[in-house]
Amino acid sequence: MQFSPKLICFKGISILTLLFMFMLPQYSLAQGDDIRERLDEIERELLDLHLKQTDKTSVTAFDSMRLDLGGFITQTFTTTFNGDSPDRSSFDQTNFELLMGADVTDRDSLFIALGFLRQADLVNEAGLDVEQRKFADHANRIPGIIMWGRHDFDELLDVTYGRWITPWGIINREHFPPVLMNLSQPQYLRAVQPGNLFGGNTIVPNFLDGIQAHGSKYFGDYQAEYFAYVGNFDGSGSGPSDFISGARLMGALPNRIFTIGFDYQNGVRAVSGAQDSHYDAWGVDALIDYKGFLLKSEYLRSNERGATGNKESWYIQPSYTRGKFVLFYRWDVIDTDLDTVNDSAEQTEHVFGVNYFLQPTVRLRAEYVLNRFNLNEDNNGKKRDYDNIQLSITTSF
Amino acid sequence: MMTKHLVMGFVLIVLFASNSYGEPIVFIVNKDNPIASISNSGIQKIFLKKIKRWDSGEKTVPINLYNNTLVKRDFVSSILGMILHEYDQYWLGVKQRTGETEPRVVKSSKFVLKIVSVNKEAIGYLPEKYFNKLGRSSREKIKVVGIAR
Repeated sequence: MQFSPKLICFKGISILTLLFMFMLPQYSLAQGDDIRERLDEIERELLDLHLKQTDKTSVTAFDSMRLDLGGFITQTFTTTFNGDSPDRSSFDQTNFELLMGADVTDRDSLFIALGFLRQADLVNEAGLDVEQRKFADHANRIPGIIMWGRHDFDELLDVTYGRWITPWGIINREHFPPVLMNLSQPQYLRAVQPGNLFGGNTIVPNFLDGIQAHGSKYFGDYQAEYFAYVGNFDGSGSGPSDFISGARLMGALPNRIFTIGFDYQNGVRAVSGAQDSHYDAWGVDALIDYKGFLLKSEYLRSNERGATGNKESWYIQPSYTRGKFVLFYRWDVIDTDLDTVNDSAEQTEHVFGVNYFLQPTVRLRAEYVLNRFNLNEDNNGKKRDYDNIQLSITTSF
Repeated sequence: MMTKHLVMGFVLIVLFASNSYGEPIVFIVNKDNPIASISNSGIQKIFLKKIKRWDSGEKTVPINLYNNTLVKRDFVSSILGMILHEYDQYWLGVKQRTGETEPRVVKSSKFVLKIVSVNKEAIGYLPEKYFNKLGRSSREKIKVVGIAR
């Protein structure tokens, strides 16, 4: 058998044609699959966008690059008992907060938290006539809780102006119910006499209006962070022209296994019928976070020059998270007049609690609180101590 | 005998579990990003938005995947040192305090690749198996800056 070049050429072309006939459809098929898969993904994205959007119109974010809306709602039920005061129960707090965050440029942002609160405060909780310990009428409050703008220079400096959370300690900076395992903050962050939420005479204010500088620096995996601020707190604690200034320094080990912070604040307290009192407050706090075990602890003290007594408070709060459950305990002590021993200004709280997450954004809490007073008799010789149970749910978005 | 079977069963479960959560993760940036490599802790800081700018001063744009992907779970546990529940709680807290949100979340590695290919500031991650199958044209647009095993 002889193979002429013509025949070889013809056979070669035939083989190549056959090869193309088999390979091209395979190649096209693969390409087609890829395109179909990508189209499916785009359709899924579009469907998601469509489902997230209202059927009227999408939101336009004016001049911002990003606009995020969020918020949460909290309902509590509290019952007080086991004391000489009358047992009381109430759905005492319904709080809704609307959060808005926006980036105006890649260095400028703003954040707003508006509260729509309906609350029945427990009045005369620490008073010297326990018969008067009761829930006040529900009151509607709409505070502007946070409203700030921020310019970000670099990692070492960003400047925040407006109304912001006072950078003090651990729990005040966490602050909001969706992330709080116990709804009531430590005593030093609560109004000593209830009824003045977001304006109460706490040892250090929860919020300030003013200007704040902040920055952080990593040294390998070690982090150092600072805050320095000046502002006003015109609640019942001080006037609109009284300035409060302070600073916070923090250091953290890798993965935040251990964090330590130091705080200082100088300010003024208005005292009815007496001259304003100037104070220097300082504090130290530590946080250990290791494999579900979390320990938070803070200590603070204020030295007062004027009509108010020196103040001191501390708490220690261990907790353990396993799956959807969190167990915690807090031992919380406050003395708002250190100069007088065993007076009505000393009280201790023991809080035993459990949290359960229905979803990461739905937190259920049950807390049993022992309220113990150093001066355990009111003016009529009745026991001031009492217990309370608080049940609450917070859903956030 | 019963104990032996239980022990073997336990060992198999552990082995199976470790295999299904152990795929290497490849970290990618755009080819025009001047960064050459980045440590795991650097990646952690970027994806938790503790660092928001590249050394060049440009904003970092981390691209994340949906929680239901295996590679996201691997990423959260091996790089961020959390379980998904803790991760969600972390962002819940940051959102409440600052209005800052989790890095942009996309559904699939293809989207991560697409975004990183066209955005100079972006950083994302892919399962190594997926990365190895990429064609030359896709690889030319990106740069590998780290691998977590």
